[in-house]
Amino acid sequence: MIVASDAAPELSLLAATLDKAVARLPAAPRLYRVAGDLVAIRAGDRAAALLEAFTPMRANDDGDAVALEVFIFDAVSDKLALPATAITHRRVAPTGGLGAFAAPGAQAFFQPDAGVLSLFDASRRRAYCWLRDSTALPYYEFAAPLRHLLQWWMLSRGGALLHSAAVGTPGGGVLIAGPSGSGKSTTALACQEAGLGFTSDDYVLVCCRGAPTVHMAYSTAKVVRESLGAHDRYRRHFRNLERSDEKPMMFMHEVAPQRVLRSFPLRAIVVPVVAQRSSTRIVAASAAEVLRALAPSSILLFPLAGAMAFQRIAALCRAVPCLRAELSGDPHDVAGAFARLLRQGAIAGVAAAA
Amino acid sequence: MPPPDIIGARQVPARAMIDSPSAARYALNQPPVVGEVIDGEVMVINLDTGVYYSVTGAGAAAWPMLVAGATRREITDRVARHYGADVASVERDLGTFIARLADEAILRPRQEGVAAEPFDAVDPSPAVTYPGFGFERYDDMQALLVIDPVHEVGDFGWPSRSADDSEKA
Repeated sequence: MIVASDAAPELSLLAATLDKAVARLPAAPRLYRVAGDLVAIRAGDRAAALLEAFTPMRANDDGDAVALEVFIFDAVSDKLALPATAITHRRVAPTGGLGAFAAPGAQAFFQPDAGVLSLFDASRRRAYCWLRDSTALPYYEFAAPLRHLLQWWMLSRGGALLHSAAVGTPGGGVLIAGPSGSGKSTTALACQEAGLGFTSDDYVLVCCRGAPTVHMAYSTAKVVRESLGAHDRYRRHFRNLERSDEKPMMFMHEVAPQRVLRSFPLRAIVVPVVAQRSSTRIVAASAAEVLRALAPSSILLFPLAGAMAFQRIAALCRAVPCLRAELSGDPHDVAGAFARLLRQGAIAGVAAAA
Repeated sequence: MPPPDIIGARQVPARAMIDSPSAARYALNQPPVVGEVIDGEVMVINLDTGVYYSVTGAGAAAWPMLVAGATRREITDRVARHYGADVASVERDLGTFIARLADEAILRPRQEGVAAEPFDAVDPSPAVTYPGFGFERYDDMQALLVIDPVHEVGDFGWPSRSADDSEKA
């Protein structure tokens, strides 16, 4: 990370450039209810393609105050070049990590391959996303758009964006935590097929003030290409089947709108373990085991989330029961185990059996 | 997964003990290192390298004192008293443990003149047989940091960008 005193002029220059270009964007914002608050997003037609994953959170103007303004620019259609700064044209490498830049109240991160600049101005509650070419973005930018901005915004208001799947009912649900390949997406998809609400298969918003509450960040669901045969029913919904190097991706609001669960009270955090058991077993786990499964990827995927995100995740692991799901190879069986876990009193029973 | 290093309870995997004064004080190497005590363990992450660690046993008991700037002598005495362990053994194991933490750039020597912060006593859970200083290193997340080719930056910015791209930006 570049130290604040070095980064501040660069951040100010970029923010001023983007501010000046706001007039090029459509005046009417698209409104979304994100983690309980109203977010106004202004973007031209090309860049707005990025917003599909937010569809279930679309909101009407009910007079509520806007908590965050987001401006998305497409460099091509909005004809917006960025000034040469250390942030976008770095010649001096930061000392390590993902190499983001921070100054008091502001953060920026540039993804050179995707061509995405994320800049968050906490004091003015404004977030900017600049895209080199929105038609040339990798799929993960459509699967989890604006994630760095959402992370910084959530951290500034007592929450966090976590790398976790989430399923449940309006009465309560669970986070399914683990690194890529641990069974999160498969489990979340199987759970919605079994009738549970789907909130996330990869990233989720958590409000930590008071009782922890989980909110949908994206309607996205992905499958591994090797398991496409088992997901043939979704074939017409996959957006990127022709791109063989990408995970097939779809949106739950199209696939099963009745399963979209925008938020729920958090009841437990579950770490899935591929165990090839004959039937799935869910048992108590230590908070440390769950923290190890949840924290590293939640933190390391997000520059500048660091210490604060780690504290929030640790607090979350202390606040709710921590469990381990030893998975069978049968998704229906896995989903059944989660459905039983979410019945009244079952989580307390598992935790007490430790 | 390999078994964790247990410094003291079992024979220590060979690592030279560092002879540093018993009055030496340390601090967490912040930033980039962050640590959280949870459930009798300490989880530590180096945000620059992506390597994370689990500290258990007497290491977790010593951790709050260590990062608060207690001296090696203070830590040794408290840990030995807590577990009813031999002071010389704890002193040796603590030295090895600290050397390991220093090797991983988790700890750094405390700046001279910076006083120790208040620290909690050793975990008040019932004392058990001296468990040694558990230390486990995980580097399976380092790949996440490789997605940014920051370490390959050329004279004209990102190597992945064409001249056209540079003009656009």
